[in-house]
Amino acid sequence: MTAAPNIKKIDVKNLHFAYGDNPVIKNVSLELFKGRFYGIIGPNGCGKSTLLDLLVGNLKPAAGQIRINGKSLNSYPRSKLAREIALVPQNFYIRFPFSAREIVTMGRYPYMPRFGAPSAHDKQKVTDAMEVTDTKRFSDRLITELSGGERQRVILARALVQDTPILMLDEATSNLDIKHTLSLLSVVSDLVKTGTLVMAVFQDINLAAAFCDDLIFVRKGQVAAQGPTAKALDAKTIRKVFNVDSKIFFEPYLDRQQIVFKLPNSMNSEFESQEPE
Amino acid sequence: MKKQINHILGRFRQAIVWQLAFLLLLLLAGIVIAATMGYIKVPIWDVVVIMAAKLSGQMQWLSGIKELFAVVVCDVRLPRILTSAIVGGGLAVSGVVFQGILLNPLADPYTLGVSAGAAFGAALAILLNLSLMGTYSIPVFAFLGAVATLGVVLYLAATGNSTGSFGSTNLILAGIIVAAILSAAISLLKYIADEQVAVIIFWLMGSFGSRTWADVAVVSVFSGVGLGICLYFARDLNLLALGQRSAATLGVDTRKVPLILLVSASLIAAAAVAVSGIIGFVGLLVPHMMRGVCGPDNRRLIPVSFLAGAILLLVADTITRAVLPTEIPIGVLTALIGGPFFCYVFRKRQMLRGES
Repeated sequence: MTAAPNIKKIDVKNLHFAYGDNPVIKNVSLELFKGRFYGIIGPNGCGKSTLLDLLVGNLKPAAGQIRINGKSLNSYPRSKLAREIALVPQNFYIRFPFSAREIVTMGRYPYMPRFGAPSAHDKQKVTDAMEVTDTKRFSDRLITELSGGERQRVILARALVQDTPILMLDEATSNLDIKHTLSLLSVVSDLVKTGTLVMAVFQDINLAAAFCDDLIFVRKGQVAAQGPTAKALDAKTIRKVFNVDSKIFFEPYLDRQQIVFKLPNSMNSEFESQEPE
Repeated sequence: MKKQINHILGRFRQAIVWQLAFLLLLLLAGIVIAATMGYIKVPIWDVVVIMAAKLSGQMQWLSGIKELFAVVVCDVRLPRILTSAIVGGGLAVSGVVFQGILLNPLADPYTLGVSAGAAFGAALAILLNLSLMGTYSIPVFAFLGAVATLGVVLYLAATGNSTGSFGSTNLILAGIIVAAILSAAISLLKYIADEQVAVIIFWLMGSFGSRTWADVAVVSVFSGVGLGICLYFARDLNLLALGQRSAATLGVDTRKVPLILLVSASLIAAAAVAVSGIIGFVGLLVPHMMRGVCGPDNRRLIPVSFLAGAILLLVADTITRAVLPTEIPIGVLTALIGGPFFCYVFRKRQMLRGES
């Protein structure tokens, strides 16, 4: 595949963050480029979601720097940041009976005047995004009546219409069946080809290996390994991060590397030391 | 196909305009009709002429009308009617905002203890027989009590971490705790109060009796400014329904906006309570009902709820003032009518849910 020109979009240096006295992110440094698909992988509670929250500016780091397009994240007003980064969160539910289309239209708010109605361009964007995410069929149904998977796709559509050069997915496929998972990720891959930087938290390492250009392994708030998928994915790293044995192989059917796992035979003392905090 | 969609959307946008126009007309009609009703019947045409004359300053129009009518309508009825309408509208808007921020359809303007604080302030003023500010000491104390309570609740609920935002569970819990303490304190005040206890109890039940233009001015300023602020942030309130994380990435300052909205909504409620005592159910019921009529989009819901709340409380107050043989405290009336109605709506919805 052809990587887009190497333009640095996000630059993270020596990032620290703590909830109270409990450090969650420790000394993380990353360079992320335009037109690449980054997969973030790590055990539960390792700080993946916190890292995303820091990168989108929802949390303020205790120390360290985040730069977007060379400019400090802090110097972006919220309204401007909303045109730079979109986030698809996990576990989504909405209490009020908005229609699916109304929810997707909210993704255009950063472009609309405060008291204005959506323009023809905004409406077209909404329609396109709902088509791509296979949500157009229930655009008039209430979000409170949709299933988890349907809702997740509506939320993805909402992030797509935000039309940002950076897209963050926090386990965005967790509620989806395999067909919708694959189609969601291929929609995202198409965006990557047009130059979008995508960062996605994955639980399923094979899925990440099948779609991502780069993998970032996070363990106990630190980056344990990172690099192009083919290189970063190795049994030693998996052992270190998840404390399971694994075998990595090239799968011609996907033209990608895949992985199978096994619990290690001797998992006595080591297991305790690997327990996430 | 696209033309059709645009057509439907266009009609939908018009629908909100019509809804607002209809409610506004209903409210104006309500004000005029209510002004004719009471111990002295004033012909409807005379009311219209009196109001037109006062609004335009053309006093010669009043020449053909009994002087008594003008006094009754302008100095006695209109202040009360307008106060009840504005308080009703304010409480409804406040309710929309509280439900939107706390993501809880059971929230109302008093969730953060505004009513308990106001009641405590008023009870204190009555008990100590404070008259430093003349007839205004009770409303002023009620307002200060409400604001102080709000401050304490927000202080308790604020989180220590760098997000600085308020979790809705924290806010509700803090509100419940503070209100519980205050209600015990109010009981204590009542116990000490001796013969004053009746005054405290009557104040708590709410009334629009003998309101003046000064009251109209106070609630107008708070409700007007509050309504403006809530409308300005109505879109952000929509985004907050997606959760704070998503709202933040869509450009909402999740530290400031919820705080601004909570404080505005609470101040509307505080001014309303200070002027009229504690009137329940309007702030809970109206947002619910209107969400069913115009949908949950706060840009529509807030103005529609304001007008609907104004109409509802105006009608309720007119019933107790001019229809019933003796005046019932308005807070009691709204709870007596609103409570069962809420039960009916709630039950009906549960039944529908069971069928689907």
